[in-house]
Amino acid sequence: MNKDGIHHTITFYPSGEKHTIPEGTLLADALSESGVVINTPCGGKGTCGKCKIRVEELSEAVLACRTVITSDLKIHTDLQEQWSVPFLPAIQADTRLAVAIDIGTTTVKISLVDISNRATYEIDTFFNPQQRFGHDVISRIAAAHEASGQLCLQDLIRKTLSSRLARAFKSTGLSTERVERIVVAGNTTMLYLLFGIDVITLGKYPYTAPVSNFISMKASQIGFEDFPSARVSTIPVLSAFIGADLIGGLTLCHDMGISSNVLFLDLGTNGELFFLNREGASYATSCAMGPALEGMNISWGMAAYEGAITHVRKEPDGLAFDMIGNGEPVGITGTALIDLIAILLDKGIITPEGSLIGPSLSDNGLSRPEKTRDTKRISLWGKMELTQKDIRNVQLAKAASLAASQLLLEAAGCDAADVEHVFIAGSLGEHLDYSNFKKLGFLPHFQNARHTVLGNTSLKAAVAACLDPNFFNRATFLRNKTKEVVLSKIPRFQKVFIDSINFPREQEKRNG
Amino acid sequence: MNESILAVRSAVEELNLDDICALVETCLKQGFDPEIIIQEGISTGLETVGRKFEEGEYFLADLIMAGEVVKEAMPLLKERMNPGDGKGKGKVILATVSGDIHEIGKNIVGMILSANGFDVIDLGVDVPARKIVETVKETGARLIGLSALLTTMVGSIRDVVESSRTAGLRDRVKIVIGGACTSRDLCHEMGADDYGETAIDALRIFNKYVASA
Repeated sequence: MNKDGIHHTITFYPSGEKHTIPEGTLLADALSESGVVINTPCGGKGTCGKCKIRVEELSEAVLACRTVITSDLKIHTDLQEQWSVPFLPAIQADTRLAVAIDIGTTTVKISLVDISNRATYEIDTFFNPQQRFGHDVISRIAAAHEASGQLCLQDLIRKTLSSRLARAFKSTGLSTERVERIVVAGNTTMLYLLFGIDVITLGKYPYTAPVSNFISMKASQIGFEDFPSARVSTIPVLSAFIGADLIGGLTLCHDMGISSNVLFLDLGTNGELFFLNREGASYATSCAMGPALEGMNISWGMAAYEGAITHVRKEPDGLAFDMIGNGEPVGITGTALIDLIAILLDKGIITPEGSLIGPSLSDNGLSRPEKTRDTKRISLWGKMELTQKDIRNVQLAKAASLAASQLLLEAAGCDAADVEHVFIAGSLGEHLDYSNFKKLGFLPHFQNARHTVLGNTSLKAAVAACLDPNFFNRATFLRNKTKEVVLSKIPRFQKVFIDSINFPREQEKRNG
Repeated sequence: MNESILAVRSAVEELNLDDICALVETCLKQGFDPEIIIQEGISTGLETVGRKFEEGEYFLADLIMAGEVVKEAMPLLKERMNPGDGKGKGKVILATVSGDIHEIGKNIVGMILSANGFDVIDLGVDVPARKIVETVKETGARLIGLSALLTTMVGSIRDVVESSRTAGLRDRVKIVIGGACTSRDLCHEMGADDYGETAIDALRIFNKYVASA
């Protein structure tokens, strides 16, 4: 965005490509702007090491997320490809094709849909490149306010989607010209940024969303030149913070024929919830959980990526973990954090108020909590630590989730005992240990509810809409009759939130 | 430092709502000046609470509890102070800026300031700059605390600074900012006077302005 001032030339090897970059630009940003795939699963904290890159002028590889450009550089761009395109079984030449895209704030997923055979294949996953402007929607909205910020964010997502789609199709040998339909799902801010709708009102009270229905348009209208036969459609949104992702999930539940009292929670930095009762009435709300579960404001937190610990378990001789990939772990995911805190809470090392106290876990291979620098911390594995501040950030997430669930059910006139089914959606849900999730008090205590982890319902909804265009009509109908519960308009919210900050005590947990 | 005063300080530090009144009474019976009890017992205790909050040992509910503890004690101390002395530290206008509706932080600041002798005028949330300026004119308040949590609304801070300048009263007031998206850098950028990270910082800053007035 900065066109004035000193610039430097970065040259890529082996391609020889040159790019002119303003002085002081973060190397990670410069690379991603120049089309190089750069992965920052820890959010650019410098903890996971996944953005290491070799620079000719320096003897050691550097972290792109921690390096700024102050001179001309020659860069070796032989970084590992992130998620590789999975092998696809042969798709027939005459089959009808569609593409479903879920634009998450953190992760974007693309599925190829074989309409004729009603088969779906996930063909790409990548970090949303807009992350450089902020991990959460509010920071991106703020960035959009700055000079040509909105346009910048729009180009970034369009160009990245376009090039990733081209690459994915090339590796499958299919022609992009045969795609007849592209369905996009995501939260309201992500959709507005894609379609070039002004996001300014989404970021300030009363958070109005001027557009809630999206007209279908030619793919070329959003810069997807490679798809001349495709029309792009989007699932409708309800409000600034209740997006196509939740409405898509609601429609899927309805299509499943659910006829019991259901609480659906789509976990993320922005938590979205709906409650659907036996009579088919639906209520929805959203709450700012913060990025703790995505690992972003956690000292050793990271997204579920190579090197990330996804689960922590108690073993007789200590703690064990599961991780993605092999080798030394470089960070912990939100789900592992939930496991870890549940274990430490159980052992009395963390109080129900969230204080990190002790006693020493030497018998479990963990050190006594130490106060160094400015906050108490406990050593985990290698250099990884859990700090007091990390725990506080998880408390903010769980307070938001608990308060929102409670107030949503109150608005719907449903007691906790009458909730029959809990659905957990969102990619976080995939690795989630539900019993630890309950132990930490993310949800009210439901005596009688079953639970199901649904995975990425936003993408599933987009796929469903690819297979059945009437999905949009049903989604619109359901959206229209959903009552939104706006937490900021409930005077008790502050008190309920504060009362939700502590982790449940032993006796409450036993019932859970 | 006397044992009884230290006991009051500990009660604040440990959020001891049950015993604070009895401990304050003990000090008063022993003949200690209410001002000293406030200074050495309560305010010093709150400094510790603030530090513990910064380190993460105390969290939001604890800050609220600290406010409650101090609120319990203040009437006992106030009634022993001559109406002439300590005429109150003056008025502070608190507001969450236009476009933002987060108020937990602001409310904690309000509680702590009230408990410490300030006359808090809480204008609530989503407060336009114009309203803040009007309130300064109506009440003669010279201290303003602005809270902002949404990064998108930092411009509203500048609006308050500009509006007070346009109204010709910028020199008369001190504008202090706080909230998750604020920082010392932002304070300079927006032309505010000071920045406080926690409620205890707010107390310290406003006390400083009262002392130097």
